[in-house]
Amino acid sequence: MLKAHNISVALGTKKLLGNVSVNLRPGKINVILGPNGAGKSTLLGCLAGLILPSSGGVTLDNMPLADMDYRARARHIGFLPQNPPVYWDLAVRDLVALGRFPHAGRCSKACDDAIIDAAMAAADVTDFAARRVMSLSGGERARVLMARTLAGQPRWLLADEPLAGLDPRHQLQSLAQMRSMAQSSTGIVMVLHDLTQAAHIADHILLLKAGQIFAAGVPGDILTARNIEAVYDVSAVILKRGDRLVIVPQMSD
Amino acid sequence: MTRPAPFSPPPITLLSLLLAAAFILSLSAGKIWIAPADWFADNADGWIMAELRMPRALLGLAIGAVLGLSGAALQGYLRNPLADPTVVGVSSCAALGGVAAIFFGLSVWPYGIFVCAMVAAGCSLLLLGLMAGYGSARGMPAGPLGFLLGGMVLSTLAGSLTAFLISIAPNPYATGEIITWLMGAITDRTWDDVIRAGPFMAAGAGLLMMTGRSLDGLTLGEVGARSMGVNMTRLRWLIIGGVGLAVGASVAVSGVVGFVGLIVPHVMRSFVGEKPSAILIPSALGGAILTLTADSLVRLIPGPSEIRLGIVMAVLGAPFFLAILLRARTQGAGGFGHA
Repeated sequence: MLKAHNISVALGTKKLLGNVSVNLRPGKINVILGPNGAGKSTLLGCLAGLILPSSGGVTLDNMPLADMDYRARARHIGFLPQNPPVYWDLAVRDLVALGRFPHAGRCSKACDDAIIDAAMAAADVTDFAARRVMSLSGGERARVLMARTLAGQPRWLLADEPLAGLDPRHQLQSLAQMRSMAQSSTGIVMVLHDLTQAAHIADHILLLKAGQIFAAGVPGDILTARNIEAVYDVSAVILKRGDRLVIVPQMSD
Repeated sequence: MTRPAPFSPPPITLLSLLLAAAFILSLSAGKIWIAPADWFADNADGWIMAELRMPRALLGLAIGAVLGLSGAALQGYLRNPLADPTVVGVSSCAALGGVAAIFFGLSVWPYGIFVCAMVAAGCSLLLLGLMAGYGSARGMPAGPLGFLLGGMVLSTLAGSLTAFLISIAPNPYATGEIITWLMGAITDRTWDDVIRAGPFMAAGAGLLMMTGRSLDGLTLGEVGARSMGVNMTRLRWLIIGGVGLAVGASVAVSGVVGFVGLIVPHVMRSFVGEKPSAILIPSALGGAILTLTADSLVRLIPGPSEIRLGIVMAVLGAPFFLAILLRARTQGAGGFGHA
């Protein structure tokens, strides 16, 4: 279980998160939703152990993240930041291989190579393994960065807007990949903005507003017109297509 | 910025051969040319080789190697291709220590300049670590910005104090001695200098060689590196300790030799690609080749006395620096780190 216990984060006098508690189960896809500035990325950073809360704490299987060895934490939790910078023009395969950093010395080269190849295949980037990162489009680069995270074989995958920049086919492919990982007991936590996609993929939704959890639960209970209006200040038309929700936000009058 | 595919004969083999050639040149070249057959002769040539050329060549090799290695490590850490050991202020502080030793007459003591320069380098890296860690203790990124600002403060302060000491030097002889020392050279160095500086440079190089994989992780920025398990505090102290020991000892025995740490990693990237860990050893080898070759050159240029090594490096380095700036300009912001 990945748990946040009453965590608060402040930047100067601005409170980014206030007394947030969550219990996340492995094998589930947890989606964090909320308007800009609601604290989604801050919560994800805390859950990844990258932001130290000013109060409260985060535990993984009852062990405080703050007490974990850096590499051990990275072996358990893979983090995909939103649009990270790439400072040096590495070959794509070298960049994906960075995902093996926390496993250094624990796996043979052949084993590392096999895992890197599998991660590249899963993210559909095998074809440009030899290309340089700077020559890739934004969407291709996003897939390479996803492959880098997959190469770490984390038990938890925390991703900040992992679908941004991807074309529809690769968005669906990426979501299918996450579902497959969840079925193999990997815990998935991701920040999304598209409410229909969230309704489609999430097992559990955390709806944030102004640094606090406004509502949490299964998509059908959380993604209601009333909640959406209260959090996003927009009205929403919610359609049902079979067992799927299609959510169309509209400007409130 | 897209680089050409890396060279396919192993660059380290090629560089090792070039280094061997540069080392032989450094042993042979000078006002008196000594052929390899006479290196071990029982005459004046043999004495010059054993007592002057060999320690000088070893120092040139070691100084160039640690400067190149320090530059590569700093550029990886700061994710900035314009970084070199002078940006963190250790060179300036070590130079201030050496100048203070000359100013206060401690240079007459055999270890005077060396001890003062190393103490100043040690103090500077301690201050740098504290300044760079200041942001970290407050939950702010402690990486490049803290490091660069700390280095800039130290460098400016040390430069000002050095100028102050020169301006109040007690006599023209002291002023001349200080300025000459500051120009950087490995002329007339002895085995004592090798023995004094060697262990510090080796220890510093050892620390820097431990940073390779963490520097690779920093390719994705500090957040990306931390998410992969890179311990940024440990990395910062490895860089500070490594650069401080290696560059401090280098300045202590040779004065300030600039630009090696800037030029060499750039050249190496053209051959081995941009992966930070992949350019550490080539940069060490390339730095040694450049320094040994330049030091041989200063001995071969005709004139009443040798041109200082630091001057030759600056003459080579300044146009190179300008070329980097122009290339970055033609490639837009991406020429500086692709952020």
